[in-house]
Amino acid sequence: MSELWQKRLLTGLGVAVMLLFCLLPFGYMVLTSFAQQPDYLGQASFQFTLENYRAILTAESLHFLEYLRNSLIVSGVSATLAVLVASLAAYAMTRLPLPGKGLILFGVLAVSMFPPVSIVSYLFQVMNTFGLINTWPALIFPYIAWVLPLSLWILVSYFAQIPRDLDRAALIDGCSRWQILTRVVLPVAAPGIFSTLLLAFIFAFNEFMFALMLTTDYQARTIPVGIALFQGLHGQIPWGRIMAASVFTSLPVIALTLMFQRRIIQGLTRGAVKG
Amino acid sequence: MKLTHDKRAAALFILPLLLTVGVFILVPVLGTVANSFLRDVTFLPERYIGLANYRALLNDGAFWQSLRFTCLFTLVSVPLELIFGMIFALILNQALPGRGVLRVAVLIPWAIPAAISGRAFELIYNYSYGLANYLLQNLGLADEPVNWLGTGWGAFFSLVVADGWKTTPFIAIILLAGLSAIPEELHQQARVDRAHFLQRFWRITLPLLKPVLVVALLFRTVQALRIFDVIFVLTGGGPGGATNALSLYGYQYFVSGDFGYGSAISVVLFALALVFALLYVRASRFQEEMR
Amino acid sequence: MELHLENLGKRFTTLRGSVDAVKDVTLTIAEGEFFVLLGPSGCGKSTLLNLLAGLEKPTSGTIRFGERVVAERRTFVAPRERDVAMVFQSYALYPHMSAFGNIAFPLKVAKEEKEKIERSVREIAAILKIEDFLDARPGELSGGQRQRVAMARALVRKPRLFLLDEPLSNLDAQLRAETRIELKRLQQKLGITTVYVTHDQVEAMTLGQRIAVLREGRLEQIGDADDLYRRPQSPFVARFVGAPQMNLLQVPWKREQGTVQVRLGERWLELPEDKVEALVRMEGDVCIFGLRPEHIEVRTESGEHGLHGTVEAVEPLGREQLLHVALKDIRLSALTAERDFVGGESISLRLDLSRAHLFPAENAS
Ligand SMILES: Nc1ncnc2c1ncn2[C@@H]1O[C@H](COP(=O)(O)OP(=O)(O)O)[C@@H](O)[C@H]1O
Ligand SMILES: [Mg+2]
Repeated sequence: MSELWQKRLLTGLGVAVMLLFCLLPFGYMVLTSFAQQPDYLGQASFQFTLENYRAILTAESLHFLEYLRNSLIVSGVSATLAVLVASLAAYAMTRLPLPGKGLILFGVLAVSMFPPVSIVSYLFQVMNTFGLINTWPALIFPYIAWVLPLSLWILVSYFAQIPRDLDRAALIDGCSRWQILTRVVLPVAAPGIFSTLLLAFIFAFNEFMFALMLTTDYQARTIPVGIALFQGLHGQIPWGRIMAASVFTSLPVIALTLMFQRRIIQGLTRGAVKG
Repeated sequence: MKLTHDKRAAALFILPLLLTVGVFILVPVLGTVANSFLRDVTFLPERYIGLANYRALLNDGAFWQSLRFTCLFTLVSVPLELIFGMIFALILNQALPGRGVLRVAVLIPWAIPAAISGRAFELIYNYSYGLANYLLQNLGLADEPVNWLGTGWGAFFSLVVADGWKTTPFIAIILLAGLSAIPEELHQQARVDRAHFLQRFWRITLPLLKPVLVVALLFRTVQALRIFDVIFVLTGGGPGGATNALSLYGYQYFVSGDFGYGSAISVVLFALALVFALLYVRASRFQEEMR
Repeated sequence: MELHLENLGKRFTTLRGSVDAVKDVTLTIAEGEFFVLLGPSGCGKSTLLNLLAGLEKPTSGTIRFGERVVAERRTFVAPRERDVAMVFQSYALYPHMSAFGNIAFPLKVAKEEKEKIERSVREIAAILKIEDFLDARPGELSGGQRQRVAMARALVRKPRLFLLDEPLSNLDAQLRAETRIELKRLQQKLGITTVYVTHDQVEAMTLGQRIAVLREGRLEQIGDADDLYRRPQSPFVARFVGAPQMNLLQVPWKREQGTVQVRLGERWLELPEDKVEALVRMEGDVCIFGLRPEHIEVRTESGEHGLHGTVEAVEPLGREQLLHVALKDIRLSALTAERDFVGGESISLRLDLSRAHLFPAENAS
């Protein structure tokens, strides 16, 4: 067999295995979410139903929509604020005389590798002291800090690519440092900022341990925790509903990923391996 | 004065970052370290007890089991993820029709929260009607259904797969970026020299990808050491503590109100992770300077 | 506005060490003058321009705009308060704004009224003939159009000082020549004091009322085009100004019977009276002898005073030919329109020694 054909065969096989590996679990999730019973495999027929979706969207006792709302608000707000803070910092890093830039950049990188469990207990005590447990701010503040390293790294790499001559031109045209940031650097970096925002959002949306410990019920609990703790009443796990909720929750994230695939890959690789 | 003005602006612009990271990450870490020297149990007054928590850890069989599991899980899952991530990256790097679609497909596992995919795998591993046993039996690979989550090794393997599902694609994306940075001429030259594609991989691709691989390896090592979400959902540390990772073990003490002992466990994990985190930072720094 | 630079110096300190980009520059630029900074790449032209703009702070010396000190040890006036405008080599147009937005930007930052901005932009756009693509983004414009937008943005504020850093170097040769003429006309019309940086001596000669030649951060010579061409004060200026390049040879010289002679090849040539003084002041027994190719006459037959040589290479320059001629151990280039010479031909050269330049021998530098 010629080398070309060896390679083609291997590649074809690889593609098939890869697609199966990546898509099968998700496909199974989707299928189960439309099944009346989760034990349809090996059965003669598959009984299609929308009941699971109806249940999670209407049954108030499940609090699904509230979890989702909490997630969207907490992730949205913290991603936005983190990108704001990171933009300021990235501007200073790339444009201003700042001693110890490397130390900050790499220090922040190290911080992003800390295990959440070494942070969360003390956060719990502090939030408890301030009576913030089970509120949005209890998650928003730690999330900002949590997604900051990633955001900073991506933005620094975007900002570094904007020609310094633009800053100089803006200085000559009468801008202050602040105006250079708001009227030149930020608008020019807008695509990069948008990618960063997306990644920061997905990052916060997926966070689990802080949400698990710092919230207690549907008033602030986020959807990953909601789904993780989703148990049936009578020992029977309501798989259909769990999968419906999972699919419904994954959809926005997947949609974002599909739509902005390029930006996300770009952002991920710019932040090197910071996600 | 322009210069001092700029210095002030720099300080002002960097301050929110340092403040946020300081207050919400560094201070809590220090707080955890401080707590680990306390007897800090609900309903009892706090008391400084020095290293007593750490001494207790030495004699705590469950702790050793947890540490062993965490290290073993890292040692097994990270190399597997890197190997498969490498294969995926090599495939994605080919000029295939529908390459964009493939990349999106690979991103899906990455985008889904680990807690949610954990639930999906819980169902997949279900003893009586899960996908895993269905496939195994229908492909004739096993006669009896496997008790995936009920045995120590089954649970271990299940976790490696479930975690790998989410992280392998991510590794692939990172390695893909490294691959596309390798100049095409090098491959063409090798092709002219009639090198087989496997030879080309070993002689050209792999050596050139080494810096990226090292960074990815260290990064994944830290992440594997601190694993929590998937285990919490899938096995809860079971069966019988066989998969009780350090993060989960510490968390269990926090939940039961023992902040002192839980903190000591967390500090051990922190120290372990920090070693690799610093190595990772070093490697990244090296890589950054290479550019 | 008159510009005064006094003992101006700029040192960059980096991790790799320090660089003196500008060294002890003292000069005055007159109101309304078109002043050119000329020098090879890396000689500190941009740094000097940035010092004038206020983008860099001098490490020593003083800059005055008229009576006002804008940069000194303890004083520093920010660019926005200097009322200067600048065109960058990269144009530095804001990619997220239309051409109109770019031109209007300095006025918007200065919070001018909307109608006034509109009027000023249209006015300058008319002058620079860019009215037709005011709505286009920089990415959609050609190099020449971008260059004009950059000029318009600089001039729309009617600055007191107009700074240009190699603004034509990204244009093709034809467009560069056209724009050069236009730029000169525009500057004369607006009468704004202008400092123009270039490494291209043709550009410098055609544009500058006065030209300052910089070498490694130091002022080498200041003068008009004629000064630099006819009276270069150093081999560096002699080599840098004028095309084709001046022949510069390190040659022995001697005094004999009241005359002064230099040796070219095997011949001792007597220099005219007016050159004698330059040589008498020199030390040592070698000097640098300079003669432009256009001051060497090429003959086929071997005349009495001629130097005999062989044509090594021929560069056709259109109307003229540049011949590279080998004479024993030296090489000279000569410009001729006489006829077409070919390589290998034996010829004789007549040097117009009244146009010769003599410089002290360079030691090491
Ligand atoms: N910001 C800077 N930091 C360090 N060195 C610099 C900086 N800007 C310029 N230089 C150095 O100063 C010298 C003059 O540079 P420049 O003014 O840009 O030259 P030119 O414009 O004549 O090409 C060069 O050696 C350059 O490397
Ligand atoms: Mg320059």
